[in-house]
Amino acid sequence: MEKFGKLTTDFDHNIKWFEDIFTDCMDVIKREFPVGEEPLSRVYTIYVDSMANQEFLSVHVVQNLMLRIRERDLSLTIPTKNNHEVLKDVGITTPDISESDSLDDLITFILSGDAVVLIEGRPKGIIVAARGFPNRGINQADTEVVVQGSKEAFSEVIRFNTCLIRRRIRDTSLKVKQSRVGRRSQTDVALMYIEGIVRPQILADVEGRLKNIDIDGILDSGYIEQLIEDDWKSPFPQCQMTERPDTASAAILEGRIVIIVDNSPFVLIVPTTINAFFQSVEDYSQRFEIMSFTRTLRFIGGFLAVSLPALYIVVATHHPSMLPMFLMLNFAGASQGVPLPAALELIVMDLAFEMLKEAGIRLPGAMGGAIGLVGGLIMGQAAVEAGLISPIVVIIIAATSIAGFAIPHTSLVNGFRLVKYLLIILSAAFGLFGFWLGAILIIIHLASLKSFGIPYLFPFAAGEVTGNKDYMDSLFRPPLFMMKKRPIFANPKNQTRINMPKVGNRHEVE
Amino acid sequence: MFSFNDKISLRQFQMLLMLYIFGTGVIILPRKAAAFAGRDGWIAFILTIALAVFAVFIITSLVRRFPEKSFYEYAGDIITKPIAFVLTGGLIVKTIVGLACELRLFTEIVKHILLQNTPYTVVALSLLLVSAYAAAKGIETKARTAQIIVWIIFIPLTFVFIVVGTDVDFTELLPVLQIEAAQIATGAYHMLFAFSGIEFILLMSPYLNKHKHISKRAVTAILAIGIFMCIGIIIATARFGAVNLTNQNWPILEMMDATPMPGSFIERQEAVMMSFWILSVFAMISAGLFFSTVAAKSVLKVGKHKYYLIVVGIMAFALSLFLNDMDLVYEIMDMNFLYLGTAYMLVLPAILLILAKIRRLSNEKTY
Repeated sequence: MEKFGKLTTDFDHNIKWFEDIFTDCMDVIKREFPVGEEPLSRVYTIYVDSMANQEFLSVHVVQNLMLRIRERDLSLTIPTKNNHEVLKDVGITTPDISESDSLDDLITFILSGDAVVLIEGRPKGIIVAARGFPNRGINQADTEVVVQGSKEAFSEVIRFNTCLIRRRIRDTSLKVKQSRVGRRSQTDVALMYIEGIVRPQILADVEGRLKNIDIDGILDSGYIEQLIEDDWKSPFPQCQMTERPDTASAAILEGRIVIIVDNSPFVLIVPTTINAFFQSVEDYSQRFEIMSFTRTLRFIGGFLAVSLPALYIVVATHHPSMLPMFLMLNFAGASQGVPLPAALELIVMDLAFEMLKEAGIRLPGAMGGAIGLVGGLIMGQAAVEAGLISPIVVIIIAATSIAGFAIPHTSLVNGFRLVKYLLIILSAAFGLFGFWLGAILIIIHLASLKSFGIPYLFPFAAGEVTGNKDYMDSLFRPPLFMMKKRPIFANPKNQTRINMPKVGNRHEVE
Repeated sequence: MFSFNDKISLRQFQMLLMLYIFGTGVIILPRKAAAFAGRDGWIAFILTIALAVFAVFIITSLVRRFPEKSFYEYAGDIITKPIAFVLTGGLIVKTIVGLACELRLFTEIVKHILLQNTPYTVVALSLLLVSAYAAAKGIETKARTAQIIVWIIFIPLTFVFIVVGTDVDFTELLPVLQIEAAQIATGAYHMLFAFSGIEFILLMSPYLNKHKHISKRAVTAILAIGIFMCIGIIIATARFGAVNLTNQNWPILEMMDATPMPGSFIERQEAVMMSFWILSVFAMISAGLFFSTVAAKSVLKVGKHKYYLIVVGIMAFALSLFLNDMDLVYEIMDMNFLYLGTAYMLVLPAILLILAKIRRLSNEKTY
């Protein structure tokens, strides 16, 4: 619904309206000037300083209208076109322009970094795409580092981000549907997908959920994630986040939808499954044998990240007789003199480690490293030597963290970090029985989750929906040529990914 | 596509069925087999499998005729609503009694092996609450949970059976067929209790997304689990001998404890075995809670099934408190099976199927 109405043919009235609405907005540049030697008309330009590219505007708009138009013989064009059309055609020398008579639209474009040109007597404003705000360009990925593969990462500029994907998928079916979300922030949000590969129901669902958002401002893609996910109570992520254009492009080729939010270097990928969080784009650029091994390691890492501390509690406090005698004595010897019960000791140590991690992230690079060194090594050793904690607990906590780091997507690890405490508490209370109760609770919760209609535990549960073919790319990474079909996310009518009767040396066929 | 439609696939149906059955009898089945048929217990159990397959065939043939209807609805169509009301009530009672017995039996074993000092109520309630949580989440979640749990149970157990199987004296099984046929037949009938859970198929029909191959899938599940349990009986008999086996309370657990695992650094392996059993008992109790509430709701047709869950849970728990003697638990389990179990597994489905055929009542789907 329009708030401000439309432009009129009264030029002075239009100017006054813009002057009023942008009162006390010193960053908005407004200028009215005559055009032509014997003024043909008056023109009014308006844009936000530094958000619009001033140099571009001066070359393609202002210089033309102020100076060059005087140098041309307009008598040939004026009889066939009116003044307004002449000024638009001759005075604005950039292809990316549009027009609107809606004041709401014009304001949104101005605040998004475009410039608006009003011509006297014309009830439409010309929107000149001149966005040129400062940005940090294309940097390297920080959180999803790979050994082999592109080093590019998304940035805060939505158009750069769509461009990074477009460069990888040069297909006219790759669509970019853009809208604005946030009553005040009017943040640009783009959906990217391949028409024909995406499931129409999921696309409609995503669009519906985005349309449903009513919030004053969207400052990051994380806002969108939390407002469109299926189960807000769950600690597990139901949208995948990435800063890598190749990961996003691969997801689009699988039939998934990428949501790009202006001002955020992280894009969202929907739908997702827990399996997707164990996959890295690098898996597909290296040989399948080593990547299958790595994939399996990640799953083991996931299991350990959740359960290792709890299993330690089980054997250390409730069922030490489950261990062989030498190991039991070892555990008992290490814990001798430690004042805290094993469960509390473990929780305290784990919280200390979490705090160290948090401190290391917030502090600048070199200091972050120093915190790790001082906290992890020096304080850890001192605590052990002082008899406050047992060395085995330090090993358990360190091993748990390392196991978590093996998973490529931190958002899943964040979920694991929380549910781990549930297992610890239940194991401390009920031993092995408690551990399994906790494990069952977690499995039930995961089994109840869906991401845009896709079961979260797919393909480990409900894998039969796609004839169990998605199992192939889960615990192991099959050879690339075997991955002939797209995963469950893709439209069933367009499943073929690889269409090669024979790979490698074609002469073998003969 | 995967909307919240409360439907499960036939594969999920199979997994659920396997879990429901496995939780019931695996721990005590070898002892029962030895008690009824001595060293020929496994032969008697093969007959039991055949009986169970027959029962499943009857039940699935019945439910296939009424794909979208609850037990109360199709039984009402066949033999009038009042009788259907009584039958549904009986099924609910049978399920709740079974739940209470399983809860007591399981909790006592957990207390004996893992948590000697923890009060009964704490262990039983915690298991009941977790099972109720699963039941409250609905059949889709239960089915997906089953698809995960089934691997956690059966892969390690298969490994255990293989290892234990290499360390037993199979001559304990010889000579075969030394027991009278009548005794074997009686044993086969009594061991049908191990397949308690197949009567839930009577209630599962409205939740299936396809019905065409339901008989085939159900029979496959029964055969798979039956063969697994039969191997358990064979190994346990070979391990302990038929006479000793009758004196073992929980032979499968004892067997685990007595056999060293190669390369394993875990002592007290029966505790590990308990882990698998915790999972299967959870599946069974949650199934009992779910289906008894579903049956109750299909009759009363008011409120959410979560409210019924609270009532059924409290009833099962309260009943289990009275079963404070294990002999009493076994006695009630036997009675529950003999009087209600066989009725709902064999007799009533057969009668309902015959009447439905005579009256030509069917909404059978071709998919």
